[in-house]
Amino acid sequence: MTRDPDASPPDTPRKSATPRTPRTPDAPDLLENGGEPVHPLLAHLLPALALAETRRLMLHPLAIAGLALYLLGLATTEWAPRPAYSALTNGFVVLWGLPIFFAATLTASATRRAGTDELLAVTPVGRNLRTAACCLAGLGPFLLACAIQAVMVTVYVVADVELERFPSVHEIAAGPLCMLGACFLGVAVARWLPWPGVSVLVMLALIVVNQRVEPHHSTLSMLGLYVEFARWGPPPYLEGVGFLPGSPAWHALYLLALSLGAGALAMTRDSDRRGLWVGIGAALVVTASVAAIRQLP
Amino acid sequence: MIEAVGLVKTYGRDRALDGLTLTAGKGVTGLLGPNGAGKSTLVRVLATVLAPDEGELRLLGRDPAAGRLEIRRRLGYLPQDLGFQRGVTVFEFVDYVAILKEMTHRRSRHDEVRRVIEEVGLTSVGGRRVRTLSGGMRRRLGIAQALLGEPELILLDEPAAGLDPEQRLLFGELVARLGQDRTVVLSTHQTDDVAALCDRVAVLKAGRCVFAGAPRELRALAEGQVWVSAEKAAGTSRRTGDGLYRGLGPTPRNARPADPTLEDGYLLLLTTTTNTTDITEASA
Repeated sequence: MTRDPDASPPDTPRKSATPRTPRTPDAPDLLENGGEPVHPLLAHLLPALALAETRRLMLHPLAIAGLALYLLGLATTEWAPRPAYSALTNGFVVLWGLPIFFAATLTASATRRAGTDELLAVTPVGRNLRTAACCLAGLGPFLLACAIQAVMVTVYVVADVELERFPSVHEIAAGPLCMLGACFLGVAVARWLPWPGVSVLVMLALIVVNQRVEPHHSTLSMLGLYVEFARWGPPPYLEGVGFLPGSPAWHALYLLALSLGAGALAMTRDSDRRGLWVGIGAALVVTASVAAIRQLP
Repeated sequence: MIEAVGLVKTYGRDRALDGLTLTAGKGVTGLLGPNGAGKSTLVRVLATVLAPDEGELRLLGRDPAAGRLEIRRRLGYLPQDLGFQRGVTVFEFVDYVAILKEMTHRRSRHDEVRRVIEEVGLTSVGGRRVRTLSGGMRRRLGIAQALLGEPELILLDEPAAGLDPEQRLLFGELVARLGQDRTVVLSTHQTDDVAALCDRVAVLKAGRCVFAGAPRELRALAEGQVWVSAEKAAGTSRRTGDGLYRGLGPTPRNARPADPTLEDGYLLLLTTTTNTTDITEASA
């Protein structure tokens, strides 16, 4: 050991070539992997990571509570023609879709809220892959919703429930697509708007929009996310007075484009290929716009 | 393994690192310093969490600006404030980090997770939710994840905080074992930890390294300047467990000289060095 006055820094220290990461609300100061090309093997990580995220999402208390609420609602639904028709088409949009949105938001923001982000930031896997995994986790509720729809269709066919007309595959797909969209939107909100209570405001805004486009069961209600394809009579809504004249197929495409658009929005936040995801998002906005118009009678 | 020259890191007008120069090789290097000295900022820079504003840095032979990903593949890091997600179990947490460390094969990953959990003595609580663990157990869990994949560079920021004496003993054995074949950097307030675990010690003050050398060399700085007395004397004397007062500097009347400890050397260094006076090794 020696006294070394030269150990003090030079008067004009050299600038480091290290790039500085712009401050973001979600990840203040944390450096990502600097846009380095991701090792090809990382692609194998995505399934493992997505499975872990799916598990966390599906086992989130809100997701479980939502599913339980939906199943309870289903069990108590009267098997009259109209309620049965409704259960087959948009049954779980509110009871399960709404909680799964919050579950997706909370799951995607869990590491940030817990203060784990700094640790995770120095792992080889960047936030882009973690965001992708969170989005892919949305396939869990979506596939489960599809399975439930398949079981319900079978039950209704076997039970020979009298329906004025059996819903088309597009009408049946609307529910699972809304679940997918809820998950993707939840991740997008977690990534873009990481402030407490914002997810509640987003959901309130969605509810307001849906109420606005649904005055007296007009065809404009197809622009919403909670569409009653069948038109009801007065409460208790057991009497049908017809069906929406719009196109369920275009409506399904409309929902799919909106859902995938929410996923693209989430990916835009963290991806190294932001331009690509902006392009995909723009294409999906155009698709959703076209489908929104074409679905109307 | 670690070569830092003239590192500067500023937060607004505060210079957390002010031209810090430090090298560290295989073995355990302790970072000592008062609050605000820049220890945690340095560890975060070494962990590639933060980029220095100025200066040159090489980690594991690479420039972090160009090879950050490769460095991160060989890095284990325990931040000072590590939070845990609600609802996850010990195993799930470590397993999640293991996935992020590119361990894709499920069975071998789970074996590795079990190994590091056993290393820190948490096997019996592997299935318990993290929120039910004590503070010391959570700290050990944080250490466990840092050991995943046998990293060549391990950065531990206040790893022993919250550990009870028995756990500290186990932790000491673990760190000593790790330091045999890799670079371990330990940021701490505890001079006892440094004396017991570290091959080298760097003392930080106001964002600069004012000492780098072996612990015995830091202790030697206080040689002949430590005294104990039955009466409190002015200056830096402090009461010890046996009712005597221990002080640094010229031995006053009615006091007797005492053998210096690492803490004496550290305290003396902090009181005598200025921001422009470094006591560092010429060749680390």
